[in-house]
Amino acid sequence: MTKKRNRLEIIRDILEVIKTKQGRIKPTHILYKSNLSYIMMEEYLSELKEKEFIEELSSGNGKTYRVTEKGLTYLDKYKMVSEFTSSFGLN
Amino acid sequence: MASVYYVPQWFIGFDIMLEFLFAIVTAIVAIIAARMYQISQEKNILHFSRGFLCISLSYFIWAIVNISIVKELIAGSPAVILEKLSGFWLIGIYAYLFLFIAGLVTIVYATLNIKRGDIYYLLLALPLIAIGGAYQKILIFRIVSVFLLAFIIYRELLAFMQSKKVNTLFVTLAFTFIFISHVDLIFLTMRPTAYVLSHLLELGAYALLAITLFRALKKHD
Repeated sequence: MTKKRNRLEIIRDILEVIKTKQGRIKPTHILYKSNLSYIMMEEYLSELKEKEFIEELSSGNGKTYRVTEKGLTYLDKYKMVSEFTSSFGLN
Repeated sequence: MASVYYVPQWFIGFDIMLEFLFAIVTAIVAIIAARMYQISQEKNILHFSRGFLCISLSYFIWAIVNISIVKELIAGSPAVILEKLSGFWLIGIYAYLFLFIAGLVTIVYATLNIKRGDIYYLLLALPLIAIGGAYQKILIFRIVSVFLLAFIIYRELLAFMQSKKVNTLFVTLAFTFIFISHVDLIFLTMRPTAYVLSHLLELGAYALLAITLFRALKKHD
């Protein structure tokens, strides 16, 4: 049985999913790939937009997402942040 | 009973150096946590950083107060009776008490990982009111600190049982050493060795925190 993901892991997984399809991924694709319920996904996407980790793009096909520089930095430094938070019991 | 602590003559100066060292280590933890917050934007990491910053400032102020008292101690008076201090010393002690408690409360709040500002202010107000209203402020401060540290140790222990990481164990031990140092100063304050022991325990604690930081960051250079 896989371990339950913590917040940092979920954010990483969502950003990874969006990164693979930069600017072309729709919410439904994120929902399938991220293994979250619709409500949870919406909450996380809203939070990631607020933190400026992702950017919402509107087009004729509906809304899509892309990862910002801040989001890419998070992915790049994820292991360090994760190690720090787990060391100090902040997960 | 007044709050008294006895300082062995040979330890005068060493205590101040150690307090500055504690201030530096806790400031480093605060700075690195702030950097982690910058990357992750996770509020509990920001609170953790602010908590350690308060503790760092408290040690810095305590060291300054001790520097200003040192002349009296070298002149032969082996004991500092905290209630008899006034003026600059009193402000310094109150600042130390406030900042240390604020630091511990903020770290407790960070480990709870909740987003309720009203709960934070309640957690902060209760011990400060208890200390402010007490006659033996230092004693109540130590007792409150012991309870807050016990809670932090409990949270860290839960985290260790979940993660089984050596670093988390080090952090749990670090807070345990600080806990014991405060208990020591509650019960053994009339003995000069209590003051020395308390500082040595805190040295062990902050050494463990420094090692934890080094191990956590070195892995991902």
